Amino acid sequence: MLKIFFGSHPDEIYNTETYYSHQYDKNWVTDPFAKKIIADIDDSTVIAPDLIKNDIFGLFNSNNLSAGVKTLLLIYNKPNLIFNISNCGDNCAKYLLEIAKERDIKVCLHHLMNFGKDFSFKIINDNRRKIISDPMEYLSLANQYLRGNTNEG
Amino acid sequence: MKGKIKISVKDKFISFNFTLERNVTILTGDSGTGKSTLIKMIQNFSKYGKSSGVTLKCDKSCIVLEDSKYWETELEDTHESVVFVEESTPFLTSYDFARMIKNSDNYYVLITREPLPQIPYSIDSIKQIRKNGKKSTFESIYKNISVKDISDFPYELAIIEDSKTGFQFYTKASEGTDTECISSNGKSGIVELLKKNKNKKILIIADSAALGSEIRELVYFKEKSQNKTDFFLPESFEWLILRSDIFSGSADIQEILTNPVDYIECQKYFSWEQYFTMLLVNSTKGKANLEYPKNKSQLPSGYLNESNIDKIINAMKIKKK
Repeated sequence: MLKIFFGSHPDEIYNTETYYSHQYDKNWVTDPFAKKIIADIDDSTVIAPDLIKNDIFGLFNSNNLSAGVKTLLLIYNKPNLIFNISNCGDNCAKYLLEIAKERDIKVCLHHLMNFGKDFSFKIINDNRRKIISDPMEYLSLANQYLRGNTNEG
Repeated sequence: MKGKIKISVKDKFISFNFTLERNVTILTGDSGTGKSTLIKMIQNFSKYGKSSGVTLKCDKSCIVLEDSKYWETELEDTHESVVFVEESTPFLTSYDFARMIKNSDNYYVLITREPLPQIPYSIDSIKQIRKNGKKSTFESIYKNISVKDISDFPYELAIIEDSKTGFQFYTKASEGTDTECISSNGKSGIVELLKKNKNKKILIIADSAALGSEIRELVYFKEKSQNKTDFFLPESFEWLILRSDIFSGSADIQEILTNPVDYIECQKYFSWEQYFTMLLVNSTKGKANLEYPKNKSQLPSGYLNESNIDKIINAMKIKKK
């Protein structure tokens, strides 16, 4: 189940790119799920551990993947930590839902991510437990928690 | 600082060419489009110049403002420049940053998906990177989302962001139709009203000049409510009046409207809405029944006669060069 906390959380890893650069494992990119998201989101092919290729940059290491892919790889490989998914574009949303099918993940969200038509997750602010699958309810809760937030970085 | 700013950044692998047309640009969109790559290239050029291997062409200095203890001092010392801020930079969402940029003479490119309600920015300022092989450019995300003709008011409800002159005008303009006009008393109240009236056919009327932080939610609502919602988003109500045929004889005003960016000094007018209000106030001084009040409290009667209502309501349809 995907559990979303709107706004800042005391245990949140806000800058996922920095965290990734210091904590990533070279073998992460060789997992089939990693290969799939790297191909789809970054239009690139995994060649070997920490070695990726695309038509524009040629060969590069996984520190040069997009912030969205790095955040997904962190969530996939470190499901016990709370990462900021506002570093992910809407094109990452389906993969967040896919990861959450297999395991519980808790994330922070600072904007209204578009999860498409079919989704279900929990908004966990104020200890809420209800599963949300109605876009209007999701919009309403996002508005309630994100606009009520002082956003003081 | 005012005017359009062209920027070209390239290295051996990739190039970015874009023009900034306002003081604040929000760069957002899908992952994997090259936002971080662009920032790294500007950062490297800013630190090492040509020896970075990056070529950057721009009439103004371009810098990346990084998170450090000294970001405020660095920003205070930066003038007539283009300041880029990368996503997840903690100060980006702070009120201190919003306060500082409102009084500065720089242009800003902020990479973020967070709404930043403390910064008034236009929906036209929200861009994404469009890739075409090795060449990338910026494109507006919310282009052409506003309807241009609302003269028949084919809606059950019009939610008007404004509670003063704009609200008075649209309420009068919709008299005799089936449209009920209510004010959201500001942009942040719109979503709450939409939620309460989600089964109605709704028109949202708001100033696009400062609606940037809300537009994602509003477009999401429209998408999920099966298109029963329309937007009427002039730059601002005052802009709409200036664009109308009431002022078609004023060459000065028409010239400004053709290219506002060349006239609007960003340090004085952070939002274009403020500039157009000043322009309308100054242009109508001493004109009977048209003298526009600075505090926008009461719309003069001259704007509420049938002929001028018609001119203003149809001003979005006028094609300008």
